[in-house]
This record gives sequence, C-alpha cells and structure tokens, in this order.
Amino acid sequence: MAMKKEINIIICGVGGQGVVLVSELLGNAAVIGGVAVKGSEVLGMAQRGGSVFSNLRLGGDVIAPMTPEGKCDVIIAVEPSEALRNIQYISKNSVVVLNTTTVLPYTVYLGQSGYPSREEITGKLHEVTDRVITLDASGIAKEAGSLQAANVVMLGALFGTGLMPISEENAKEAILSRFKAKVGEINVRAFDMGYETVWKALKGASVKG
Amino acid sequence: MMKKTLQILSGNEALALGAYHSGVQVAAAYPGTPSTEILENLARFKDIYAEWSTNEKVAMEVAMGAAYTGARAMASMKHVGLNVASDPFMAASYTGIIGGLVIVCADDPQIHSSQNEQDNRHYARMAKIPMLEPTDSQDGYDLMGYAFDISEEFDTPVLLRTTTRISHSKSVVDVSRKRVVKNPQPAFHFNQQKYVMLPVYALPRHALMEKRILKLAEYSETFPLNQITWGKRDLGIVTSGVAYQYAREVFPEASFLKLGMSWPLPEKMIKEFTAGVERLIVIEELDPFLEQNIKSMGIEVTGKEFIPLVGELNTQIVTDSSSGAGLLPESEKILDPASGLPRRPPLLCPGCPHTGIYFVLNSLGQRSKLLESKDNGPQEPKLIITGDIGCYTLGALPPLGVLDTTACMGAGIGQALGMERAGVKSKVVAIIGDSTFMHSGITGLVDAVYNQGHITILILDNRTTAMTGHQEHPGTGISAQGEETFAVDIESLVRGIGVNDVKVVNAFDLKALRNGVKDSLDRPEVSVIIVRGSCAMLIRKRANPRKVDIEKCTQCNYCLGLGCPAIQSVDGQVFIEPTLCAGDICTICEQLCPQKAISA
Repeated sequence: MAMKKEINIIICGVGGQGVVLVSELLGNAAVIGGVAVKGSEVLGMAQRGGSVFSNLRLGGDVIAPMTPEGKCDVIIAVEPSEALRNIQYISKNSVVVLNTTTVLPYTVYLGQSGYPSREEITGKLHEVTDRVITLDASGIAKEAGSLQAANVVMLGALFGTGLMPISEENAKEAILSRFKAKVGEINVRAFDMGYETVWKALKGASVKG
Repeated sequence: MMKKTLQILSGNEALALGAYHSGVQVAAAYPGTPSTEILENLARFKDIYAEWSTNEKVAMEVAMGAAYTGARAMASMKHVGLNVASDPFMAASYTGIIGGLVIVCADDPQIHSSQNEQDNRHYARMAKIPMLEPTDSQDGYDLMGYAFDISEEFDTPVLLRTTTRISHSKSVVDVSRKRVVKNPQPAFHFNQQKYVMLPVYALPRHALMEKRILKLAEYSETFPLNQITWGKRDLGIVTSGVAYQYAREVFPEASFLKLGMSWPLPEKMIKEFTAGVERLIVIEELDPFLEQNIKSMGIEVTGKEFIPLVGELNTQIVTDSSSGAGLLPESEKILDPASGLPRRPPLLCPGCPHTGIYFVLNSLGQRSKLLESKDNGPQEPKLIITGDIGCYTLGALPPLGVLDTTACMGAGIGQALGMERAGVKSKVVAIIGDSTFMHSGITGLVDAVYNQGHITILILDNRTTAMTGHQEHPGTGISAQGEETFAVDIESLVRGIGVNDVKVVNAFDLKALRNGVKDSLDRPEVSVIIVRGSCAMLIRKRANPRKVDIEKCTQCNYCLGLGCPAIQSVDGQVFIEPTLCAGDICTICEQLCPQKAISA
C-alpha cells in the first residue's frame, strides 16, 4: 500500500526565542486547514538557555510524532548554530532557513568552547543541500513593529518556501486567534514580511521542483 | 474544513479532557515531568475537585479515598512518583474500589528530565491490575473512558501508562464525548472486609485479586483497542505505546498486534496472531516486558536481541536495529550529528535565588579547586553537599558545581545524616527546595533531630515548584485551582520538629548567606537555614539592569563564576546583557565584584 508523503518540519532555536509558539501556531494552522498533523517537542531546559527542538509532521498517513533522521523537508533555525545541531535530519532536498541572530552559549564566555562563524554554519549546511536561506528575522520583526515577533517572521519564512500543505490564510487565522488585536496585526505583518523575503530569495532557485 | 470536535492536543491534554468527559470528580497529583500538565489541565474545570498533593503517596491516598465513596477519581504522577506512591498503590489493588480509580504514570525513557528510566509496566504485573497504554493523543482520550469503566466493572484500580513522547507529543483528537457523572452523590458504605487490610481480611482479598486478573485476561481478548491488523504474513509485530508508531512507520506492510491494554495480555489473541505470521517480533521501549511475558506462553519471539534496552526508540533506531537483525535491507547512511558545536548546558536563570547561596557554597567549599584537580586520587570535598531534586539540582553543573549527590526527592537529608554518622571528617550540608521539603524532606529532618545529627540543612525557599513550571505547593497559600488557602509556614514547621537553630536569610544578601552558613557549620546540632527569595520567573518587574564599568573592571572574571546568563563576555571583556539582567531584585554580581565595577 502506498503511503501519502508527509511534510516534515523542524523548528529549532534556544530557550526564550519562541520556538514552541511557532510550533503551536503551525499546529493550529494545520487543524484549521484540515491537514493531519503530529509533532513533538524537546524542550530541554527551555527557560534556561538550552536548545529547543520542535518537529511537526503534516499531511501524512500513519506517522510517528518524531521526524526520522534524513527525512526533514524544512528546518527553521531561529538560532543559526542550532541548524547544525540538527543537521542529521536533513538531506539533499531539504530547505534550511536561518535567522542571523546568534545566541552564544555560556561555555563560549568561559572560553570552554568556540562558536562557528556564519560562513562555517552555512558552509556545512551547503555540503548537504544548496537550499540554504539566511534572513535577519530580528531586523524584519523590528520593522514589522516588535522585536519579539522574530519567531513569527520565521513562520512566515517557512510558508515562503512554498512547501506547506496549508494555506497562508490558515496560518494567519491561527495567528489572529492566538494574539490580541494589535499584537495580532503586528504578527501578521511579521509573517508577511518573512514570507516575502524567502519567497523572493527562492525565486528562480526552483525549490518547489 | 475542520470538524468542530477536532482539536490538536498533547497527550497530557487529551488525558485530562478524556478524564473530564469520563466524569472524574476528584483528581490529585504532585508535579513531575512529563506528567504535570494532566492535573494542570484538569484544575481548570471548576466542577471537579483537583489538588496538588504534598507528594504522590498522598495524591494516591486522596484518589483512593474518593474512589471508596463511589466518586470517579484519578491520581497522576511521573514514573518515579509511583515509587513514592507504591504503598497505597498496592493497597488499592487489594481493597479494590467503588468509583473508578485511574492512576496515570508517565515514564521518561531517555531520561529527558528525571533521575532514571525505570519501566513502570512492571508495576501493573506486580500489583495485578490492568494497564492501558495509548499510542497517541486520540488513544489517550479514548482509553481514559475505558479505564474508568474497567475499574468499576472489575473492582480494581487501573494503571494508565504514558511516556514522555506520548505525553508531550501533539496530534489531532476528536473530542466528541460529553461529560457524564455517574454518581453525583458519593457515599461511603461500611465494609471492613473490603477496606480494612488486617491480615484476616487481606488474605481473602489476595485470592479475589487472583480471580480478578484471570477475568481481566479474558476481557483483554475482546478489548477494542487490542487490535490485529493483517498485512504481509512474513512478519508479525507485537507492540504498544509510542513504539507502535515507530514500528508502523518502519514496517508499513507488516502485520501488527497493537496492545492498547498491555496487562494482562490476551493470550488467545497473541496465539492467533502468532499462528498467522511466519516470524514474530516485539518492538517495545525499555524492558522486554511484552517479550518475556509472551515467551512464558511458550511462544517463540524475539525483540531485545536487536532493539535497544537503553533510551527511547525512534524511527531511525528501529530501522537500524532491524537492519542489523536482517529484517530490513541495509539502511541508508544518515549524516552524523555535527560535532564540535558549543554545548548549551542548562543554567540557573538571571535573578535566580539559588545563585547567591551556591556561590557562597562554591567558595566556602573550595569547589572550583575540586572541579579542576584531576589527579591525586580520591579526594573528600572540604564541604560535602548532598543534593535533591529541583531547579537547584542544576547547581551541580559548572561553573557552580556544588552538589555531591542527587538521588531522589527528599534523599539529601537522610544521606547527609548517614555520611556524618559514618564518620566523615568533612562537614555535611543538605540542600532541598521548599516544594521538595514538603514532599519528602520533613521526615528526614525529624530523623536528623531525633538522632541528634550535626548537619546543616539549607531549605531553598523560592515560593513555588519551579522546575516543573511553577506549580503551587502547601507553602504558597494558593490551591491548584487558584484559590487562596492556608499556607504551611516552613519556619514554624521546622521549629515544631525541634530544630533550635533556624535562620531565615534573604537569598540575595551574599554577606548574610556567608555568615549564616559559617555559623551553622560550626554548631554541634541540626541547623536549618531557610534561604528565601522568590523565583525570578515569577517576578515581572525588572528595574535597573546592572552595568559593568569598563574603567574599573580588571577582567578578573570573578562574576562569570556565578554562571548568570546575563553576564557575558566578548573578547575578554565582561558585560551584562540588559535584556536578561533581573536588576534590583538580585544585585548578587554587584555585591561580589572585588573592584566595585558593577552598578545600576
């Protein structure tokens, strides 16, 4: 029996960046859009600067709540080095969207470890896939009206890849039902700007192919 | 468009809603990852009684008492919580119930946030009670309804076992049931033979339990969530819980026996399934529970020869181990996780009330030296610090490194007394949080007083159960359902036990902390220091973040020893990140800077 192919999405970052909220919005958007969804989160020590990992699997048949390694279609890294931490999930057709804002771990301040440069991060990812997009989500969020909306910029970026089996309208409905009026507007704007940025970046790069 | 009754729910949310719709009237729990959200979600329904109990044993007893009156009752806890509750748990199996009694335990394979990864399925077998295991949120919602019905029909508590990956995964659930309360006016009926477990009554109850488990085994043969799905006949897989999902993804064409009720096992069904397939395997997480019990039926089956015993499973692990066993072709090479990435060890938060006392213990105990020295053979710390379970366990990690032991809730005080009585030369300090002290520290303190210990006990009172997400506890004065209630005063409690030397010290006053600890260590008696300061996460107001005066700073990096996430360093120069700093509520770094280079 042929199984319907699902879309596997990983959202990663560090505690306090709103990874879990993005995952919640995406899950709700899927329910609104009538698309099957399963997912799970590894919160680590979410409020305490630890790595946060969330994955959602959309539109498949019988599926486990965890994306298998090598089977991730899109990684959204709200913190860029966290994309490398999850590199085993991607393969040559995956899309990786990186926020440029870094959060340095304490071990770096204590001189116990280094932190990879942006070139090192993108370089390693490029060894696996050429579909690596970088955007300044924090800058875009600020422009949209709130620094805190960087995570929703990344959600827009995810939809901008054109790979989502859910419409942008469903995502915006999920955003508007989650936030109060004014904050909702800012977040919808952040979503749109993230969407545009990636959509434009991918034009001609035939991500859909 | 979506159906109105469809919701995306975590396993814990689904269990809570399932219990509510099944008419649960009394729910009790002690917070513990990954079970906490079950009671949190139930507590929002104001037409039931929900409580945070002092510990899991009390939660079990509260639920048990309620069930004796015909009310439907539930106790939820993490896997190790069932160790604490195991005494009344066994008793409830002997007495049986009247109203449905469901015990939810959430195991933690992979030890995401626990001290072990014990497999609690053994408890069902030991207590001779039925066990249900959901494979996703929908199952959790549905099984909760069956659990209460089975409990009442067979006069038995029911164990509903989840794991982290079930409790914290989300999937779409059809929540179509409506709440029905079977017995709106509970009453207790005199029946000593059933409820008074004197030997004369307990032995006949045991005999009834043995008959009950046989009837349950018969029932399991037709239990609707024990399902055979015939696929190709060359491979048959018996599985339950989240392992079912992984197995199904790896072997989409195999035949499956999915056990929604994994104790007692449906022997006839298993034999029918076995007869229909060429090769039988079990895919399960942790112990070979299903496998060994199926083997004892005289059936040839494999599983743990190739499926790991340690850690949680996932699709990749099931794929790789099945390839190794020749069940699948060699799997594709998967990328290795990137190496050399900076770790992100968990830290105490900016403004954490544990940081100051830990810095004091680090310096009084010369812990940094202890952490750095690698040779010289075994060394006894200058100050032995027995730890406990909570946020403050993170102080074991660098740069503070202040704990020598962590075993289980409440263990630190007894361990400290044991070390002292064994005759160690160093002073011994026990550290315990406020919620943990209430949970299981009190009896340890009584023991230390009664047996005339000389230990110092630090009760880190941050006014909440922080680690699990800020639940109320008996010391906070607020109930699980958000109402004001009596607050148990730790200081009076400790004095009442008979501790003469009780100090209450401000968690953000370094000098007072240092003097307090030094004084207590010198006393030939049990000494208690209540280190009081609210959890920083509960304080919204953040005024006047501290700054480093670069002119005065000599880059001694002393402040980095606090492990405060707000104190950062770029190119050797320390600075304080203003968006993270807790400001006026803390000021610990300002107090310790030798150059007075830190100020508002």
